[in-house]
Amino acid sequence: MNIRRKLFLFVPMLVILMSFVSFFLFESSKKVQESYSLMMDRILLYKNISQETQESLPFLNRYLFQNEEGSRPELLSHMEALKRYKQELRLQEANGENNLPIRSYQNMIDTFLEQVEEGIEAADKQNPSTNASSYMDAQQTAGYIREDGQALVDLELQQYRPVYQEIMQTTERMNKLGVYLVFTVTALSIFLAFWLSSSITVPIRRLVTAAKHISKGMWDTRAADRNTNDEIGILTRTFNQMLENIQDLLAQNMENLEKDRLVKELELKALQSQINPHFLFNTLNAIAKLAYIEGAEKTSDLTVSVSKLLRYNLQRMDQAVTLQDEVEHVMEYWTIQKARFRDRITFVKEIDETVMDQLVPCLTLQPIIENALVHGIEEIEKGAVLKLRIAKEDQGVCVEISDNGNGMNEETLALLQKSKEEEVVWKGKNKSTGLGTRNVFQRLKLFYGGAQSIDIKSQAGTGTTVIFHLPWMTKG
Amino acid sequence: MPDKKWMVSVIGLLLLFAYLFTRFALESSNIDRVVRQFQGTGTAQPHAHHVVLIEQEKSHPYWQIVEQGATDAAHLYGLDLEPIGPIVTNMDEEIKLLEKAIAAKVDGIVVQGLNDSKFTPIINKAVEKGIPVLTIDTDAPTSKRLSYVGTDNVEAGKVLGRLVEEKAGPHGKIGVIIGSATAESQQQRLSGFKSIISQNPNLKIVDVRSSDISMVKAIQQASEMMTRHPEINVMVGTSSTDALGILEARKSLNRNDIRIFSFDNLQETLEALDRREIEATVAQQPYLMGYQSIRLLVDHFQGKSVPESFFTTVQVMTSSGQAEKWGPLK
Repeated sequence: MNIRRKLFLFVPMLVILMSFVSFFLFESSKKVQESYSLMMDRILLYKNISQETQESLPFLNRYLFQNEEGSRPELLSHMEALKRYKQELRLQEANGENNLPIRSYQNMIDTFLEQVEEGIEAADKQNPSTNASSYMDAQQTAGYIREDGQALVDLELQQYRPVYQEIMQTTERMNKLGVYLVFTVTALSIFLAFWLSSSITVPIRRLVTAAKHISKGMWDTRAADRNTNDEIGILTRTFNQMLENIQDLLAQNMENLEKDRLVKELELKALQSQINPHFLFNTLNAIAKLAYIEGAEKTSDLTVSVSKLLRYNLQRMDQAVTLQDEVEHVMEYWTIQKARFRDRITFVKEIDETVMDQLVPCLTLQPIIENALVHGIEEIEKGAVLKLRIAKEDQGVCVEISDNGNGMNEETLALLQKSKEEEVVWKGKNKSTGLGTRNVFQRLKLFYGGAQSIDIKSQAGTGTTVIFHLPWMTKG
Repeated sequence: MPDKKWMVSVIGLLLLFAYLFTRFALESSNIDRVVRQFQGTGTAQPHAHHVVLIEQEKSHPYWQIVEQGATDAAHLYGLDLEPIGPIVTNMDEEIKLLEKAIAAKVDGIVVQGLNDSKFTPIINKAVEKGIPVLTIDTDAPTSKRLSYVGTDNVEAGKVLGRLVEEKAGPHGKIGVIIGSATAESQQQRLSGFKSIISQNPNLKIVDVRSSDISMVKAIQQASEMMTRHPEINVMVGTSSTDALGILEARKSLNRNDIRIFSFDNLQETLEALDRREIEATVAQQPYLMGYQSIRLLVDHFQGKSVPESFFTTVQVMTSSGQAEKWGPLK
């Protein structure tokens, strides 16, 4: 049963039950009242009749014996009243007991009326002897009426006595029952109230407990469900469903975070393996010196270049450098690569010297050049051109690195484009591929706060061009 | 607590409520019923004939048997019988009740014609007003009464006389207690009794006194009689309780030689008969009188002709065993 239905059932039920009780109480007290007033009415009627007959006698006397005309209307009015009462008496409902006496009583009134009328008639005919006898008769009958009236009153009271006793006893029993009924209804309402309130508060308290647990971070709680069909039961189940969903989401999220963390770690390791540490730098210096001692000057020079390159890498990773420094670093790199590629690759430099003070993040150009060499033109036997162009622009500097090598496939290009704005998970077999480039892009973005722009153009077979448009930024 | 438990306790309470409420409603309807009964149903219904039985004394055992017979007949014929009478014997009161019945325009009157001269004009007045009057137990022969129902009292007196003649032996000095000096029936019984005794030279009535059908007065009169006339050896009571009074007097004066003869068959008389304290009694049939008086009135209401008088027989009883014969007729 849901709460709404309970409310709709309980409240009217209690009201109706109590109304029934009150109705019966009211009804029975009304009945008692009726019986009482009925008895009173009857007694009053008898008394009135007696009184009327008695009161009419003096007028009859005066009219008959003193020929007092004035008493005639009085007498007639008493007669009228008596007739009215008799009519009332006739209409009165009879019960078995008083049936006969009332009938006699009515007849006596009739007799009295007849006797009075006889008297009046006789008086009109001036017949004094009849006057006397009819007055005597009327007086006698009036006496009987009074006696019988009294007897009827007694009878009425006598009849009422058992009725009264019965009513009193019944009323007493009803009072007792009424008290029990009130107790029962009170108990009923208390039970209903407890039921109703417990069906609301108990599950809500459980919900609150569960919510408190959750707010403390104990996600594995559940609100106890009593399998009820009311609104709160539905709420509890929905709450639990929601909790389960959140728990699922949390678990999924944790898994994702862990995966990301592993990927980052791998990337870092990969980067570390690409950048050689001090050991390599020291060794190279030793080799350069040894080569020089042995007279291999070219080898010595090359080794020195490598060493410089390495030192640049190691020392200035987190610093801003000028374009000048970057270009020099690129030239050292190129010296090393020239020893390898000899004249297979032509390196073209177009540099506007006025913008060489431009500040850039360390190791911005070399990874791009390296990328171009390794992926772009390494495999070309002849006529490969690598071009570095630095020019002044309206609002800053344009750095362009292009090759006429293999170019990139579309997928790689798309990924690379995307990596300009955000970190991209690099999939595929050559995981490290493009790591340097992407690293550069990220660092540029951080360095210029997003004011830079990067263009990448590439077509398979015709080469790749990477263009940086950098906002103007110098020391001081 | 789960819903189910709540439901069970609520239903339990509801059942308790239903039980209490049902009783409550029943009590309420009980009041309703009692009040309705008191209120009565409908106005006074088109009624059966209203007959008044005026008795000599309302609680007198003899008259109660008369009343019983009349009531049974009234039930049988569907009459409304109203038995009335003075608490103690009082002729004026009886006359007044008769007048009252006339004023109440009843349909029929059964009355003891206690004293012919006093009752006759009133009985005639009733008859003039169209109310049939029957005399019972005692007649008012000169009135315009419809009929008389009761013992032929002269004849009953003779029966008593013959009984005494037979049982009293050769020399009887007789004392008589009569119920009333004024009641016609008592006078008739006495005259019937005297007519037999006077023919027998061995028997003599020494004294006649009235008890006014009062037991106390009967004892008093009998004692006086026994003291004043010690030669009395036979005593006779002509109304129902007189012999019982004589018996009491005999006991107190220790005159066990006196033989008592009684009238009517009251329970006490029968017991005294069985104890041999009373020799014999002349039993009337009061039940039959009451019964027949109503039956004759019904005949009259139905337009049948009614006999001038309807005598109920008397019988001599010497033990209670014979009482069976006059048990209530059905």
